[in-house]
Amino acid sequence: MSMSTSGITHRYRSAKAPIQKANDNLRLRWRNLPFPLRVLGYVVLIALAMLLPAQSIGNIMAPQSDWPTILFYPIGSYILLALGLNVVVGLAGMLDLGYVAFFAIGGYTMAVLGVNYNWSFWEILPVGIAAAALSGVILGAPTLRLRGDYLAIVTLGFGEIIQRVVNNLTVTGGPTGISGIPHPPSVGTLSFLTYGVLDPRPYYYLEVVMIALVLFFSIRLENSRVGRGWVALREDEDAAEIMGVPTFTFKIWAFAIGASVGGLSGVVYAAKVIAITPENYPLLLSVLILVCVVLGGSGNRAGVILGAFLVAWLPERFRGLANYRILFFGAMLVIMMIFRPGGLLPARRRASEFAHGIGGGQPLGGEIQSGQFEDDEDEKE
Amino acid sequence: MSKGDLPLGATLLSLNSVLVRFGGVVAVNQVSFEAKVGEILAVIGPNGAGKTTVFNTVTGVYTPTEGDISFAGRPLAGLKPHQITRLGLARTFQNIRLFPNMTVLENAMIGGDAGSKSTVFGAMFKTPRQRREEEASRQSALDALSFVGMNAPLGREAAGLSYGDQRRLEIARALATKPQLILLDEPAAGMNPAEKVDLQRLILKIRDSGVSVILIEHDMGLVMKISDRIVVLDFGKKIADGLPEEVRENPAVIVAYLGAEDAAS
Repeated sequence: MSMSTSGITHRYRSAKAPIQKANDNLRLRWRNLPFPLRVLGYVVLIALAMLLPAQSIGNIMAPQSDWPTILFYPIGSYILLALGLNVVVGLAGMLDLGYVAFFAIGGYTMAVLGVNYNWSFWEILPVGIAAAALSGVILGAPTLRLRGDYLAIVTLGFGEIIQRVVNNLTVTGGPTGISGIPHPPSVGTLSFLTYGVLDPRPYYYLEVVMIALVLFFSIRLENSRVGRGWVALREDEDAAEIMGVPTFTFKIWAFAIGASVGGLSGVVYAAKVIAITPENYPLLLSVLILVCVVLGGSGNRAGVILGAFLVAWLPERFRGLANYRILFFGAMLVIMMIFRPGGLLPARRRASEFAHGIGGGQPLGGEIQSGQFEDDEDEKE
Repeated sequence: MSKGDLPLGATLLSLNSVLVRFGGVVAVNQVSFEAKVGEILAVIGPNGAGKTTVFNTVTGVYTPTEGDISFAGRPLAGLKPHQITRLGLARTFQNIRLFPNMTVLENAMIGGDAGSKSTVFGAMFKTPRQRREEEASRQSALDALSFVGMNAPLGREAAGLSYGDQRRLEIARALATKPQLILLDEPAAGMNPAEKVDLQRLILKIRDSGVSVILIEHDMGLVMKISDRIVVLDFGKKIADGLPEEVRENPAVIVAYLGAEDAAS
């Protein structure tokens, strides 16, 4: 965090883009709808999600690929991962460049426990989530005292370390990875709940359920003391701490929650693909998920979902352009960031930051300019 | 609004030979003073005298190099700023430090949340305690906002407030923590005379509601009118401590403010 300007008092101003206003109005109107209508809204959303893998939609969305497969990975997986990373980057404002590590930890938990110990998917799922969350805490506890650039470098290193570790351990199968990962047990005889090799739709539906759950809990978190605390510490960490927000504890929580969502999507992913190798977890994936969050609108769930969808879908849609598709994709990102720096759907709490570049990081006033805490002591909670 | 149970006039905050050193610079040098329950104590001194450093040390941002600080009989050594806030010691900042993209109500609720204990699991499963605490936080935020006379709509972002409302919101955010003692760091800075009159009334109202006040202020008119006692710092040292009329006549204070030559002539 920079030591900005001087002791001159700041006057905050904000300007809102029209799209932002429309977004706010929509949110307000949704909240004011009577309960049955909102339930109906959710039912319609679920129905749409169920119908999405249909062939007729696929013909338009992805003529050159198998649409339901793409819906599961990358689209669904990216959405889950982006929602998890959004807690860390979008809400709490910490730059995590090694998020793929948690996806890998979830995946390898599924693979190792499923293949070597014959655990079932539903038994492994909580373990994978917990393992990812725990590694998030282990990474976070010593490093979350760092701010900004330093934290980004450490997380970048963490992502690389995890990939190297699974590449070299025997239990993870080294570079060849692990194959023969079991599928989730089928439920009854319904085709969309039968987890086999060929039909990707059951896995997609499983992912939809997970996305719904993650959304449900993250909305609750955001509208609580914890969510307020995250935004406060993103905007002005020192002021948040002094106003009673346990910033260190809340940062650890953000890291653990983000990591557990990463672990969750890792388990679900590995349960479908039968075999995983370290190459499934490259640095590029961390970067892409970060792009999803930033492109869509850091801190805004709807924006993040839209961003993840576009990042996952566009390269598949334009497969016809062969090797140029990534080039076009990159150019589009650059253009996007010039015209909508807050993302496609900027978070309400964030929109004005981009308009005027204000925020925390001013000195506390008085003689000492840094405004840093004495960080040499351990948190005593 | 207070949650304190100490009798009026009892010692609430005491600094005992506090020394704060940054490298070779001694910012606060052997300063001792007390703040009592129910009083408005002003801390004054020329620029660079160490006033804000005293505030930062009391609120746990800096650790004193020597000496100790205790609040309501409890030593503050080793406590983090958020823990000190939860003990009932709140503050505002010399440069306004609101959360600019959060709304008026959210800003004040950050203060109100100082009374909450539930965290992630409480929020995820909406436990009865979490709901109760959320409601209590909202209530103390609303109480504090109406106490300071906030005019702006609750849903407006802090960034969009007028200067006076930003100052008021900072005080409301601090009061929403339900403090026993509030530290105000130059609250009148940048205010016009009419706003200063409002502020003066507000500070007296805060004291009368049972919250003790320590005030850093350069506006001597305001300080002399409302302070019960004044502590004067100069170059990190305490040079005077007493009633407003005593401090006004104190030769050391006159030297510090006007310079030695003027005082001699």
